[in-house]
Amino acid sequence: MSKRIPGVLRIPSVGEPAPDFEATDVDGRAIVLSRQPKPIALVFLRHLA
Amino acid sequence: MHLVQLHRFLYEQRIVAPVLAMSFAPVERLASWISLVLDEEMPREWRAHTRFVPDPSLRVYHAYGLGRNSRLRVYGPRVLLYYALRWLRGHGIPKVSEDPLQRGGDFVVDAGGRIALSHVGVDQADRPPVQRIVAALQSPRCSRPLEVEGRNPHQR
Repeated sequence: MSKRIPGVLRIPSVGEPAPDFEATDVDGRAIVLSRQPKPIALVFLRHLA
Repeated sequence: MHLVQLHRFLYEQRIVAPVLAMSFAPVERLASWISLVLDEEMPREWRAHTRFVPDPSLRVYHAYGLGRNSRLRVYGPRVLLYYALRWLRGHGIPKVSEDPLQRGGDFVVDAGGRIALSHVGVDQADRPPVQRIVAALQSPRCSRPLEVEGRNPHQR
């Protein structure tokens, strides 16, 4: 049985369930990914220029 | 800017698609960037279906496997060439106040809640072509066709 190493990050692959999350947007509104209309694009920005 | 390119493409193709733009900047910094920088480059109507989400704790970034890049990949020849070309085109070298090593990425989640596109670049300049993102949004596996403004997508 493989042992999960804590702290190792894994990028989800095509076909896998998208990790769900809850967050608050910049306007203070709650967001739950599983409740968002789909399909949906997630763009993770790098540092803001 | 990748985010601007994506929204321009969606707008010009009259494709309505929700977008979550995630940032690890604090909410105040993100809000300021939107009003001072993004508003200059992207009309608000382009991003009518976009929500900006601050994630300064990197909780969501880490959930999607987005850790820190190596210094070589951040400051390697390809990235240096990218910024050199920006400078030559008069865009300048952006000042950075957040972690320059933090990785970004692009994902599409289909109607079934599964990953339809997963792209984390090999370096800071590596982003998928926006056409590829839109193709993933429109692929049959996404099952629900995207609304196209002004016309029914099922009409022939």
